[in-house]
Amino acid sequence: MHTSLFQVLGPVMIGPSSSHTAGAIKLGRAGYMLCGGHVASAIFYLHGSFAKTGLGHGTDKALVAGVLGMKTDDERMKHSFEIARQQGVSFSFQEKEIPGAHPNTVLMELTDAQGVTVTLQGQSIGAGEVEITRIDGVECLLTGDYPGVVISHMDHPGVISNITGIIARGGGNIVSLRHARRARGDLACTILETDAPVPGEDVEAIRALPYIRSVQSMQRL
Amino acid sequence: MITNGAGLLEACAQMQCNLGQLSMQMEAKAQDIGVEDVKARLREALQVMRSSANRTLEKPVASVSGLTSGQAHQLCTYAEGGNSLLGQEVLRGVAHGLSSFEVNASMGRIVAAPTAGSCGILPGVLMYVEGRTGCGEDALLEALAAAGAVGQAIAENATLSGAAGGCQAECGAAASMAAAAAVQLMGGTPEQALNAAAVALQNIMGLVCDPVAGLVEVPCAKRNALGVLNALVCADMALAGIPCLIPFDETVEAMYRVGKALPEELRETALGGLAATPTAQAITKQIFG
Repeated sequence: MHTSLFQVLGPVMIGPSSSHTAGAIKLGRAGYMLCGGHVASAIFYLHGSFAKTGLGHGTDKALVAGVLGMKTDDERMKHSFEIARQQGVSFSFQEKEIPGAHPNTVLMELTDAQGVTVTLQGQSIGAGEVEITRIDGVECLLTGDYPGVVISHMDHPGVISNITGIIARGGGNIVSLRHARRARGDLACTILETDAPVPGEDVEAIRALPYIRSVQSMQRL
Repeated sequence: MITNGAGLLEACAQMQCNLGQLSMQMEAKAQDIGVEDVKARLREALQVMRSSANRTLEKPVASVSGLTSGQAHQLCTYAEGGNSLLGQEVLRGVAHGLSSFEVNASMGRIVAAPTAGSCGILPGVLMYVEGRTGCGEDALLEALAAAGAVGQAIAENATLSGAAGGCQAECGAAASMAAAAAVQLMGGTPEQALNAAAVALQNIMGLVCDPVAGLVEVPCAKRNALGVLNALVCADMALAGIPCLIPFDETVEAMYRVGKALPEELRETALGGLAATPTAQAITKQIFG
């Protein structure tokens, strides 16, 4: 089975909805990690069922809890708005029709501590499972089932080989490698899922490579 | 790699084991961990299930909207009165399911099994069978793993999302999983377990997801209650040797096709079905203004 046993018997989570609450907190948390562990401000664009029924499922509270770094079983989720305000994190919500998107889709525009903006689009596909499908406008696929790294870089020969070389020398094992680019020579996104989290020094080494724009270490969602 | 019911049955026959034992071994292999580690995680899930299944029986908790509070307690009290149709034992199982569900609606901690909107069915069935048979924890963990294997097969070949496939994909899948667990706890064969799982899905094929005010409460709580009974009656029929005409894998495929054919209004958008009734509209206005 590609689906793990504990994807079906889980997550252990705060209710009321696996797709609209647990999935939403995971999507928010992906944004938290892509911002390097600190989100200063967030705009959430809600599509489809997220927009129509999100309010009653606490989707809004869950998304905010996620960008604050909370996990699916964190009982502080109920109070995420207050916690965000205490931490000076601003947030807002808008409805947005995204053509062709899964019914439970959110587009997040996040600003990190340095003022850098990251946009990511993600969908909650049921039973608490999620997929990040777009980062900074580049198509990708990130499920959060494994740790790994998300690398934003310029499309140039040899970049991927340099990255995987660093992982290999560090003894890491790559579960999956996904890569896409906007256009030849333009912005590209490479996502590596690994069995164990990528060590900090390897993340730094990747960051120091030519043509790299940003590297974010990801934990399991 | 096993991806469907036929594969599960073949592997069970080959390894001379039940569905739950197979499921634990598959998970251990897939995650590169020991079977004991899988068991430990199942134990954790069972603990959360047990705690949520008991929490509101004696003392109601308020749901976020207030629409479904106190039903587990009410049903339990009524059943204890001794004058019910189904009897105290069965109704207590149903009440366990309602309790887990109410914990979920109050933003409490539950196990999505497979989803939060269907989180009462598996605990309800497990608590009922435990009470009826006095089975030990090991048997319950194996039953949980069997349920998981059924859920995995549905996830692989269809969907577990109400937004994609309607209520049949959530409460249907949960009842299907729980039916297999119940059969295994009663000593049935893997074939009987999958027959029960298939029939549980067939019984509510096409059921739409139409939450009033978009909240996971009405009609979800009562569909969880029904899910407990759906699982139990399917398990008993399979154990009685009543054949299942349409096999599990074909049932799952049919469920998926039906799910995809449902209009968006009937897939968790709160735009159709019960959610579109005047009463539901009035409630929505009352809650959200």
